[in-house]
Amino acid sequence: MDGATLTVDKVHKRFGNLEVLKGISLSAVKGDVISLIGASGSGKSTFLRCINLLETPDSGDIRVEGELIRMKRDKTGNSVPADNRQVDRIRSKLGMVFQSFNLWSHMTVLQNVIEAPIHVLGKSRAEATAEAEALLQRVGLAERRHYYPAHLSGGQQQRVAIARALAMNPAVMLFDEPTSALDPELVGEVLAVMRSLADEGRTMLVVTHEMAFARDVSSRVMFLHQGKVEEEGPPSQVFTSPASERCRQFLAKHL
Amino acid sequence: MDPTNTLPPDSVPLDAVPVADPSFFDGLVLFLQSVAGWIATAFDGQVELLGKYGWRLLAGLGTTLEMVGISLAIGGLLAIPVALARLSRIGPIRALAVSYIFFFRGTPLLAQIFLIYYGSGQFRPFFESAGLWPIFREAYWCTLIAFSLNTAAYTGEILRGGIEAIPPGEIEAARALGMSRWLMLRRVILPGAYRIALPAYGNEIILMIKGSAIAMVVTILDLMGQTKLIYARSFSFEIYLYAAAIYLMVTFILTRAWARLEAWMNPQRRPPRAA
Amino acid sequence: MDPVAAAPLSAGFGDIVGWLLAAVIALVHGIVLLAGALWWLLGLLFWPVGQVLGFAVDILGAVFGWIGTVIYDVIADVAPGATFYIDLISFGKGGWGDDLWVGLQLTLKLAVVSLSIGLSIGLLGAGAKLAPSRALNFIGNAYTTLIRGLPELLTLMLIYYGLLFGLQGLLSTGFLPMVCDGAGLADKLALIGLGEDTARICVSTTVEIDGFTAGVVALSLVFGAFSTEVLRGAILAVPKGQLEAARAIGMSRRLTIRRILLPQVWRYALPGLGNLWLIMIKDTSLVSVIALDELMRKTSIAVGVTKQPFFFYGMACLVYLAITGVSMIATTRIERWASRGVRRI
Repeated sequence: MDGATLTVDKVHKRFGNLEVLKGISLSAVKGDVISLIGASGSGKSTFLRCINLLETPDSGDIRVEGELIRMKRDKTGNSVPADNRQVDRIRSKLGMVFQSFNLWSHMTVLQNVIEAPIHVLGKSRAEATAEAEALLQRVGLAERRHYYPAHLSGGQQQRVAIARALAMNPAVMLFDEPTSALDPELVGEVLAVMRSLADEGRTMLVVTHEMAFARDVSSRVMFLHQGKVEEEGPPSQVFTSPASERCRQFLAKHL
Repeated sequence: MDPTNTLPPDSVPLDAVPVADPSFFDGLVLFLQSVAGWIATAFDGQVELLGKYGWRLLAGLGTTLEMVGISLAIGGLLAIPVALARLSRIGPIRALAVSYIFFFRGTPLLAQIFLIYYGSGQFRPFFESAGLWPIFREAYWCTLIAFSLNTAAYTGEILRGGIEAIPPGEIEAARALGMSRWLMLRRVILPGAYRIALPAYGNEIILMIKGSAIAMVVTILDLMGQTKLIYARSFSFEIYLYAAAIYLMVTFILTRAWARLEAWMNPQRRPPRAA
Repeated sequence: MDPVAAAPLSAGFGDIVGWLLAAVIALVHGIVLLAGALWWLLGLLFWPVGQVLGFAVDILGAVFGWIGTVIYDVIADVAPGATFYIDLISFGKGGWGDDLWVGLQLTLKLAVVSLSIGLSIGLLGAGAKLAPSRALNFIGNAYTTLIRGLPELLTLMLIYYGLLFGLQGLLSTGFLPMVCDGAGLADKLALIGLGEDTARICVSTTVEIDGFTAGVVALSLVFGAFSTEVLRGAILAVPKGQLEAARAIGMSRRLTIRRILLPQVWRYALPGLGNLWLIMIKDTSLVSVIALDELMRKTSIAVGVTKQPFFFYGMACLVYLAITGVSMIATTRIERWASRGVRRI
């Protein structure tokens, strides 16, 4: 697809004898919000982690803003990145938000956000700090900027994690079940931030169990089953008249 | 510049070194020959050394195990009152236990042995009148006292950790059943604390075996003392290597045995047996 | 002497070896020089501090000296017997205070030097144990199993006599002079201005290992082995997700280690390292066995002369208690600082 921000072509991944991803493809243009849904073990998190090479795909092509991530085979025949610097550069264009926040516990909120802009992008401290404060303002945590992560609630930590990813001004935001580790009453504040990101036209890839979010916010929904895309389309179609029986059953259970 | 000019007067000048041809390869060949010759004679030498002194090493090992065993037994018994005093609600008793533990954990074992062995000599009339001099006169008993008091302090702390780690609910349950304090201590607290403290106590035993080597300094012929004695008679450095091998073997066997003991003492960690 | 006069085949090879040796010797000289320069720079940097401190110590000394004499006089009045013991540990003539002070300084120096070397070994060891290489894993495991299974006293003896015998054995084979000759080391050293080393390296016939060196080597090895385990545990204790987050945001492996992993490793390692430090303070007393005049041996000397064993060994115990006590307070402070932001307010 021309002008695609992110294209993934037939990605395969196996852990030992278990084939987790059986050739998944995806293409996102700017402003797309794609929700990946499916039962646990369907491979959706692994797929997300393959995109920024936290897991190394066994085969398949990944292109970010048209640039192909080059892979090669090592001595034992495993697929490995050909150029680690390229991987680092591409990762800085893919903002990742984890299920377990993964904030750096020895740094304050502000330090967490400015760390990568300073040390990866080489920005000046003043510039990084100014941008970080604006972002923290956006996620509603400006007054907590000198707190340590341990002193924040889960929802606040996840909002900091989103600000940390945004600080790199990424081309695509990857969300790996961002609300699954949160108490129910804290889910809303994180979803609100994500919704506002979608509204401003961010390209987003969201692995989620929040069906309401997938239905109301996404431009496209992908239902994964046993490492394959079982159903794909705009939410109106997937949620109201899914072609696949499995998708119908899954939705019936989760809506 | 002639390098021989820079030599100090008492050292051998380079020319005097008996080398037929001063080439590097010849030197290497000579060296390898001497190494080969050494290996050939070394084997015979080792057999002779062990034949002559091997029994001493074994006797030394016996003394080491005996001293460690006795002091662990005494120290283990002392550790219970130490731990309980450390947890006591009565201030002075707790302070006493704290200072006892602080002293024996904060000073070198060597200093403790010296203090008891040599220090007691300063109070000889007192010990004689108390009829204790025959004990304090002997390096063996003094070292044993030092070892026991030392390990009692460490074990007391380990035991305290174990007692504190018992889930409060278990103690509450015992109290709810109307157990007396003593019964509770005997049936619930100590058995639980022993299990929790077991890994740390295994460490303490190994530390004690290693630490006991210091007894050599007051002329006790434990494994280390015998080793030093053999070295003084034979000037064979290898004897230290043999001693090292024996210590390693003892700690290895102990580690293995302790892992088994832990598994046996904690049946709740085993998978349930099929009926 | 002239390498050209040697066999033509060996001349080239010998020359290479010679230059390599000369380079190694030059490198050692360089390191020693650099360390010296750093030491000097440090001294220069802290000179004003030293002056101020010295002045403060002078004043305090005068004040406390005066208070001391007053107290001393009072004690002399109340309990004349007690002044005998005070005299024993005084810094003046007939007192052993200054001797013990010298011994204490050596004890602390031994501990601090061994700590820094041992910690470096520990970092390397932990790296080796966690490296994705079986050979490195094996080396790391063999090292820690060996050292941790041996009594510290035996390790010290092995190092002391091992170094002695190893070097003497090397000398007795005449290997060194042959190598020096064959490689024309003397000429090469003279050429790079290190001519004096020829005598020391090529023609020395006796070796002496001083107690301090042997002590530092042994204590560093012991501290290194135990701290390898502590640091390995600490590295594993840093939550994996935080490292993953760093990689995901585009930080390189090295940057991740430097900015995310290491700062947190200290937090997890400090309690264990503090414990090891206390153990090492006590282990320095073992070095007295190989005749190093540290605190314990100075005390024994004092006992030998004064025949006051209980008093002096008791004093030594108090000094050790003071060091361990101060160390414990210091480590709690450092731990609190290092785990800032981790505890809930």
